[in-house]
Amino acid sequence: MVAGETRSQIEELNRKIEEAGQQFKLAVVDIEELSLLEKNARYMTNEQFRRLVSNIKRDGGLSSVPFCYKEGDRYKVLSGNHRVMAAREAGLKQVLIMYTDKEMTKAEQIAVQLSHNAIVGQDDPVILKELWDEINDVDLKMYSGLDDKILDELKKISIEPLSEVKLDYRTLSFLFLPSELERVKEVIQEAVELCGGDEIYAARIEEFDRMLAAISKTNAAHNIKNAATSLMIILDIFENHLTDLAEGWTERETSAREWVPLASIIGTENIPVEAAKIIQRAVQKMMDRGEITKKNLWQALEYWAADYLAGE
Amino acid sequence: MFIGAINQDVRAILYEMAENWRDKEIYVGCSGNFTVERVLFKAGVKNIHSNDVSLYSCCLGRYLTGEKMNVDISDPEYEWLDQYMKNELDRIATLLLCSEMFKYADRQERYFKRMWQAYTENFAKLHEQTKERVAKALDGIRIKSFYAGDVVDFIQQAPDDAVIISFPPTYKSGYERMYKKIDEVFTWEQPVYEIFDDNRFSEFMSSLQKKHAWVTLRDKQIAELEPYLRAITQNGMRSKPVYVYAQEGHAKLTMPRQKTEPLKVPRFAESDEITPDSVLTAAVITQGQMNLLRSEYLSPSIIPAQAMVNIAVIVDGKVIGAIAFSDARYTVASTDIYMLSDFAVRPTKYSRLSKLVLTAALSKEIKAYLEQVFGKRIYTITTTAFTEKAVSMKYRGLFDLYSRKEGMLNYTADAGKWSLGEGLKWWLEKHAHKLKN
Repeated sequence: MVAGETRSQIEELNRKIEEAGQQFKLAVVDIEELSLLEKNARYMTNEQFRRLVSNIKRDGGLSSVPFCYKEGDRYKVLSGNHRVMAAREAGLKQVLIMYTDKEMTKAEQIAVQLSHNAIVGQDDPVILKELWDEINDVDLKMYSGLDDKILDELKKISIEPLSEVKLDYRTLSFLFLPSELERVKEVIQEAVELCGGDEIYAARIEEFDRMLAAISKTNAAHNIKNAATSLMIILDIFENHLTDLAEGWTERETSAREWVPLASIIGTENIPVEAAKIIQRAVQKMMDRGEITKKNLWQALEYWAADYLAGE
Repeated sequence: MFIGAINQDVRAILYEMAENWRDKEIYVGCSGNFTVERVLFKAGVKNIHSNDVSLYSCCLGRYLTGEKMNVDISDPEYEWLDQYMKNELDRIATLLLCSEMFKYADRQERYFKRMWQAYTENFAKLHEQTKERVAKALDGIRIKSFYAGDVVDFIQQAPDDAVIISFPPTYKSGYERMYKKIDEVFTWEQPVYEIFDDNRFSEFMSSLQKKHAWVTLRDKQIAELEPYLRAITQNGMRSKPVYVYAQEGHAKLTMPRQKTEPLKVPRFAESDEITPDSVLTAAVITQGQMNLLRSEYLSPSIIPAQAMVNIAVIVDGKVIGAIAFSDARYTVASTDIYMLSDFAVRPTKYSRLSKLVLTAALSKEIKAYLEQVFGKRIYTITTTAFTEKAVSMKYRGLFDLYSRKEGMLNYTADAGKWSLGEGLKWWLEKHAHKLKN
């Protein structure tokens, strides 16, 4: 409630304003009597709002007066919605407002709302900087809502980095494409142009789902979160199951001209060095006898296997 | 990697101050990565005396004075590093690399083992390149003296007419944590010093204030130093401000500001209706567009955080709300994703429009998109409601409460519960009839 003395002073002021031919009135109202706009194009970022709340707390009140439209017992804030919100946040119970109780259409109310936000002055950056420089107190600078960065007042001081060189990372992009075959070529081309990775692999969208499932299981099994590490483990598992690749050529029609990986038979690309020395000697002996040539060294394996099977 | 507190803004402030100190003797306490010295040198200051206690900083200090220093490898496992310790520059590069590489040492997890292997296999190349970088960064820079020891002793020994600049560690035992492994692997004549805590800071300040001019910084406001507050710099919305205290200097201030961008999609209005024929969709938006929506519709008292994915939820071509997701840092399981914020636009006649936004968050379409972005399977979505109440009505019926802390409720829900179409149908049946008076 507004004290009687204040009320009579405000009534006196309102009488003088009316005598001056102006239609606006002043009032000190409970902040809960104010209704905020439901739709407002004007916004404040979090940091601006917090600054406003701090300023109101520092001042102990609003230093500029919201403008309202009186509708029945309530006051609709046409200008100063953020100020009122900030005043609430700052703990103010009552605020001084200017209002009109003259009948206004909805369009007239919107026009007032927009005009208060649109008809604002602009700053001459040079004079603004000069004024800014006259403040030599960090708290007061903060109060102003500006800072040295926004006014471009700080010099850019670049010094050479004193730090270690990082590991060299390469990007591996997997692109999972829609299954429409006619689009695949076009999309790959587009991806190559857009993606910038070092290598690009294409797969259908269904495969992406399978790969995520594989990564997810690997993550859970090894308690890791890094997808690249999971992929390395998946590759390790793959290498341990190279013989499974044999299904790729045993369970389908093949032509005599196809080549398949040796690892899909023996499960490894590498063998112990002592075993390798024996094989090397045998291969050399076959070459010396003219049974194989440099072009078909691999055939040594076939001949040995055939001999072995013949002796069964 | 050396972690220091001297960001770009502090460098600029220091540079401006240094222009008045060209003919002075400057004593830099806690030199760290010698950033202060390098800024001073750039400003034309030549009479610099430095100080620190870590092996890395001592090597740098000795290199810049041209003095020799003995450093040995005490751990036989690391004797292979000896070939990279031949001279001062070699050592600086080795220590820089070790400060990063040692994060992965002695760990059995696959990721750490993989990183360790990469560092050790590529050490020769990395060392060569780091050495070049260090030589370039320190090219032409010389200091008059280096004191390996306690910063308070260093300040007390400085002449009274000297300028003292010292940015001591902002958290207790900072150096000790950073250099634990390095001190285990290398042997050197370690200086004696006291751990820098709040009590030591008081002693440090009384020594500092006896000198002609001084500058220091903290990551919190110090009431007793209020008359000397010369600058506050803050980079991110959630990062700690840095307070610069100095005996003299013009006030400076830098504050973080969110970038906002327009979102040229109509907003769902009070007169708009959602019917069984309506279509619920979702669209990825930029962080700037999210900042705009959040400023308009979310409580301004909530400090924004940077999200990895921002999505606008749309009905019949009009935005009804937005959702922001972040990585697994705050989540409980690796198959979880954190929903940083979710909100609906206003005004609307629907009391429970925010539940429709959540319905979209739990859709198969958003789950699929999140899985693509985060490159992992996502089973659950976690979020927090900051409230003193026992339950958040917004999340009730869609999310399950899994923990409660003072002022906050943690909720979780299965991701990909339904398609956007199915979710809309559910919302129409359960919540669309609740209208505002």
